[in-house]
Parts: sequence; structure tokens; C-alpha cells
Amino acid sequence: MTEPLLSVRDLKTQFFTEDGTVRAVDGISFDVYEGEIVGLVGESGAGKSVATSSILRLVDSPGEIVGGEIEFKGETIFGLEEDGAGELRPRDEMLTESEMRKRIRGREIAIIFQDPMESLNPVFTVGGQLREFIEINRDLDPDEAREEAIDMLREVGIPAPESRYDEYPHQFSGGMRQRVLIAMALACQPDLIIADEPTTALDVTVEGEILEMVTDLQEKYDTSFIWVTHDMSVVAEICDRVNVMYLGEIIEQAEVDDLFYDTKHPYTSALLDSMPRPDKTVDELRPIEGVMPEAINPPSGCRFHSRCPEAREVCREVHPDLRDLSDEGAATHTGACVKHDAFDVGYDDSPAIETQTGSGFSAGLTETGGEAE
Amino acid sequence: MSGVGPAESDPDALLQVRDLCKYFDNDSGLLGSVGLDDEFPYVTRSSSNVRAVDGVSFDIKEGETLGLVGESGCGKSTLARTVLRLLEPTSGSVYFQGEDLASLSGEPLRRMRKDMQMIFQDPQSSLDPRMKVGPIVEEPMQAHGMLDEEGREARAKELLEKVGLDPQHYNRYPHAFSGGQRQRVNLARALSVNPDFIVCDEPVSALDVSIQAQVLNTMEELQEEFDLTYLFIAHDLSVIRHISDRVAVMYLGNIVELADKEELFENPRHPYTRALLDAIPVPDPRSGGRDELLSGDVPSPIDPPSGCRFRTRCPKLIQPEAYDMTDETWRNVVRFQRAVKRRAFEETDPDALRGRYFDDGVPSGDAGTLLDEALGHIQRDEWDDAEAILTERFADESVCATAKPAYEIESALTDGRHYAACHLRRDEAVASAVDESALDGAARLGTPEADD
Repeated sequence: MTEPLLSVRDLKTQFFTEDGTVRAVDGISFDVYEGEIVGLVGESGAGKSVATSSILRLVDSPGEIVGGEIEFKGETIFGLEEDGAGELRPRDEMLTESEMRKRIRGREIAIIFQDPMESLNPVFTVGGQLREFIEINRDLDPDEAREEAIDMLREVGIPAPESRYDEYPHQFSGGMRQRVLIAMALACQPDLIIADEPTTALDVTVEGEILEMVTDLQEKYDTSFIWVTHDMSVVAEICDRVNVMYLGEIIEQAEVDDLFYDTKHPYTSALLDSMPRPDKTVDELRPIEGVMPEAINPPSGCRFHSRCPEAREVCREVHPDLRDLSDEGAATHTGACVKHDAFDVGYDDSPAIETQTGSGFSAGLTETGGEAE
Repeated sequence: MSGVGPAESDPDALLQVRDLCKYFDNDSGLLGSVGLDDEFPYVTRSSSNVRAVDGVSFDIKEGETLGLVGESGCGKSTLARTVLRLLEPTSGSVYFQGEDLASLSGEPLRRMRKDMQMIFQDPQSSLDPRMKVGPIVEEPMQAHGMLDEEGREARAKELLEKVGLDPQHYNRYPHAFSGGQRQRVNLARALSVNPDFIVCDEPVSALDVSIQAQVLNTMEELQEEFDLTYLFIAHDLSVIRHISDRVAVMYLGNIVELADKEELFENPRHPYTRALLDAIPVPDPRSGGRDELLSGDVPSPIDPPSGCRFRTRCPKLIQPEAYDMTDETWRNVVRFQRAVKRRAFEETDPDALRGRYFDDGVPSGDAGTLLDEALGHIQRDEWDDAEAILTERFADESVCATAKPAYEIESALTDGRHYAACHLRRDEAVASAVDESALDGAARLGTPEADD
């Protein structure tokens, strides 16, 4: 395989709060190759959005990227080294803040957010905002940028782009606004677009249109995508490879077909089983018990053991790393669960443990509780 | 317009909604509707209504769950609130246990409210952050004078346990709970007054998938235990398919299809239902793509399309009687008309447009002449004229535009009734509520056996 476009290694992002250190992203590694759509899927609180902001180095205080490497097209977006005194400091070849701003963000890596209304300024026209973005990032003069902006609006399926150019964001429907953001993301023909739940707030019919459009545009421009979502259906529809996140860690990595048909991690199976299906009637949903624990104080061993139906004693003690579980010759499929032979830590002989059942009592009440008031 | 749909007095029905309308005044302020004109009398007064719910009828039987599904803005929530009379209906009636809610007011209405409760979408904003969970659950009982203080506390604790929370959490504040748990508190509050009927407005759409399943299961258990009847609103067809017994599909203030769950999902008879079902992504990478997506936005409910409201986006618009085009040619005309309306292209050359939109069939005869005329207008950059010809002579001539569809057809898969508001179902209808005069000459597909 060729060199990956983006390579993330052992990325750790933490938030230093009064209550303690929140390990929002705790050592994740994944690659994005040219022209593929990579899914990043998980429930809220899994650390998906923190992971993507870390890639763009958009993490603000009290958060900080504390470790790992991010390489993009041979350049170092983030990397640390030890100085003489044993302290970690950024490596010399790491891009500076101004290089990130001028060269990477928007131009090379664009991002589309969930709520289009928050990404568009309500007091400027849609066309004006798009034009300004193109003008700055592509060094075009205003007239050329305007032409380009109108072309991009047409490209993403906005009817009558010349007249819509002068309208304000509130005059656009939700789906249309999301199209504008996609136009903005595509305008500089970046190599990578990070889409952070871009269709979650939209109706199914509009979501369908946007997904179709993205697939078409992706073929046309050969852009790579990181598609962040909590929706397994969207993953099934557009992703090539998928990373499943749970509590700051990637627990399974596979091609989309393998993920659905040869699921290796109990969390992924549980997620798939808990969903009602549109295409058939499911008599009984099997929910995952409890809620995701806080990232401040994650469970020992495997982080999912407290909710896992297959948990054994050993899961409480051994923290599984991602290991290759694929058959020889097949596409890489990694998973972090000790029930697989690749781990050999005595799972089969270990006694089963009681997991949280009944989904109710005290399960997942936040640490502080309510009585303190 | 009645006859299609449930009979006037169904003994099983807990709730009967008849021809319910809710219009909102679109004008704001005292002078909002006043406009200036350059002719005498110079000042005009216009008023326009947003027809959020427009002539909706359905029944809910005791103990069943009716799912109500539709895109945002179609009037689902307005319908729910009007049914509970949280909004004043413009016209129509709502019979709850035989009594017309629309005519009640004051104390009798307030007493009636005890039997009907509602659960809202956002579990955060529907709980007072400064009240403890116990008193939140007790408040409705207090308002309806149920039990004494001790009794209420005991009942609140019991209910908390029933919905899957720890009764010990009686003294905690809502912020100490997760989203799914807050929705459980909402459930407990709704149950506190022992209602028969609960309207659930998108109760799980703000929750994560794994939590969604927990709450849905709890809701089903409670329904069985307390013999509840649900009106369950959601935009997510998967959730609707899981929880409902019967499903109503809403589009722009109208119910376009209503049938038993299996029947609706496996044998949808309205093009809109089909389009919705086709648009949902399926959690299966081998499921294959979708056939055809709906294009265009939902029209404004201020001035909704005549006849069938879905006709401006419908892929199956019926050809007007006046023409005799092949199906392909007619599809091309419709596609072209919508493209012109949306100004979706810039090309003005007639031959290029013919090649692009009519490569597998150009209309001949009258239709051909009209198309030539429209293409001529486009060539001269007179878009409005071209649009007028195409819209008035083709789209607006269709039976879909001239008559409002309402048919009841035979269910193929279940015993329940199947209502589908689409003129394509004319010839298979067992009952209809369509103004017959509007159908004269347009009944190309044969006359329905009307027993209205």
C-alpha cells in the first residue's frame, strides 16, 4: 500500500479540569489513505470530536495534546521529542501555528461541522462568506473569487446560485446551509475533509441527498474524508474503512463490510444490536446496559468491561491493545478484546463477572450527585 | 369531507380526531398585515395563514401505539399539541373517551388533562433545574389533588423504580442525571397522574443509540403494565417501526398514508412514503444504493400546492387527460418543468436542452408545441414565461393538482385498514372521499368504486 495521506499515532489529548484530568483521547492510531472515506464512530463522549480537533490542532485550554504523532503528507502536524532535561517539547519540524493557519486549515484539511447555522455568520451573505474564503485561501481577486463561489454553489446543487449568492444564511434551509458548508470545504480542493456529524441534524430525505452528493463529489475530486458519526447506518452507506471509538480509545478497526459481517469487538456488536432497523421489524431491542463511564476515571482493564455482556475477570485486569485479528491474506482487521486468541491471557478459563444489569440503579449517575447542593 | 377513514363512533377508539385544522396567523404586530400599494386605496390589508395542520382525521385504539412520522416542518408537533389542546384548534374536533375536547374549557378541560400527558424531546429543558426529581414527579399529582403528601412521596418513589431509576435518587437534581435518565424522570412524571394516553414528541431522538434502546424498552414495558396508549412522534423511521402498531405518515399538514406497521413498511402505497423509506440509510453495507431521491424542498405551508400537496415533488405525478405521451416522455416533461422552476441549469439552447432532458422521448402534438414555446422563451431568457407555460399547461392540469386524493384501499398484509392519499390508488380504492366532479374527464385510470 502507498503512504497514507494522514497518519495518526498514539494520539493523546487531555483536559485539565478542577475535578481531574479528562483523558478524552487516549492513545489512538489510524491512517487515512488517498481517496477513501474513513469513519470514526462512537457514542457521545467517546472522544470523536476531540480527536478531529486535535488533528487540526484546534484544542484549546484547558485541553492539550500531550502525546503522539500526526503526520500529513510528510509534514509533521504534531510531534514531541525529549530535550536534554527529559522534558517533552515540540519537535523542530512541527508546523508553526501560522503555517497551520495559512497552509493547512481550510486549504489542505477542511472541516464541516454538525450545525451549519453556527458555522455561517448570520449577518453576512452566504455568497460573500464563500467568496472571502476563496479569496483568502486561493489568492484570487474578488471578481474571480465570486465566479468561483457561484460555480461551487452550483456544484453542490444550490438552485439559481446567482440569485442565492446574495441571500443570508437564514434564508437557506438546513440542508441548503449544509451544502454551502460543503461548497466551502471543497472550494480550495483540499486533500482531506473532516466531516463532524454533518447530516445528524438533517431530515432523512435531505440526509440521503447529501450523502449521495458527497459520494459523487468524492469520486470527482478524489478527496479523502474522515466521517465522524454516531450513526451506523451512515457508516454502512458511505465509509470504506471504519474506526470504532469507546471512551477515548479505538477498539476496532476494519473495512466496512468486515465490521458489519465479521464483528470482532463486543461493543461494536452491542451497538449494532441496540439499533432499531428500518428494513425489518425487530421484536426486541437489546440495549447496552448502563451508560458510558466518565473519561476522568476510566474503568481498569478493558474500558468496556463494566457494560460488556461477555466480560470475564481477566477483562478487569488486562488492558487490551489493538491487535491484528484478520485471517491471513484478508484485509487488516484489528480489535481490542481479550476474548480473541491473539491475546492469550487466559480468557477462556477466567470466571465471568457480573455486569451492570437493570440499567437503572445508580448506574451512570454522574460522580458529584445531586445532594451536594 | 368524511367517510374515508374511521367511522364516527368506534367503540374501541380512545381518541378520535376529525378534520382537525390548526392555522397560525402569519402576520405579526398591529400593522404587520398592512401593505402599501401604488393604486387607490394605497393601503391594503392582507393576511396569510400558515396551515400547519390541515384536515387531519385518525383514531387511536385503546392500548395501541400510533406512530406519526414526517420531515421537520410537516406539522407533527403542532398536531400533537392541538390534540391535547395545548394549542387551540382552528376547526375540527378531538373526541377523547367520547368527549369533544375542542368544546371543553376551564375546569372540565383541566380535569380531562389528568388522563392525557406529554413527553417532550429535550429531556434537559423539560425538567426544572432548580427542583429535585421527587417534587418534579409529584407536581402533577398535587395539581390534580391526588393523595396526601406522604402518599405522593411514596408513589413518586415507586414510579422512579418502575421507570428504572433508583428510588434513592428522589432528592437529586436533574443535572445529576444523564440524558436517558432524565427522559426516565419525564416518563415517571407523566405516569404520576395515572393517565390513559401519552403523547411522546420525539422522546428518544436526543439520546445515543444504546440509551435509545433502553428507553424504548422501558416505554414498552410501561405500556403493558399500565395499559397505556401512545401517540409516538418521531422522524426516525427505524424507531417508528420498532415501537408502533400503526403508522401515520404526514406531509405538509396532511396525513398521506395510514396503515398497520407491517403493511406500511412492506407495502407502502403512497409515493411519499416510498421516498421516505428509500431515503433511510440501512445499517448494512451490502444493502445497495437507493433508487431515486426526492428533489426540491418542502413547499411553504402558507400557500400549499392544490390537490395533493406532494405533487410538486412526486416522482409519479399523473399525466393530464389532455395529453397522450408515453410514460418516459411524461417523466421527462415533469423533470424539465421542475428544473426550470428551480432554475437548475443555465443552458438556453433548445437543442442542447432537448438532448439533455428529452433524449429518450420528445413529446409530440399539442404537448410538443407547448414545449417548443417554452424552449423559445428560455432561448430569449424569459424564464418566468417558460415556467408559466410548463407549470400551468402540464403540472397544474394533472388530476393530482385538481382534486384532493383520499382513498381507502385493501391491506395486502394485515387485516387493518389502509388509507392512502394518492390518485394512483383510484382504481383499487374500496372507499374514497374525493370530490367526484373534479375527477370528471380526468379519470384516465378508471373510476373508483365510490361508496362515499
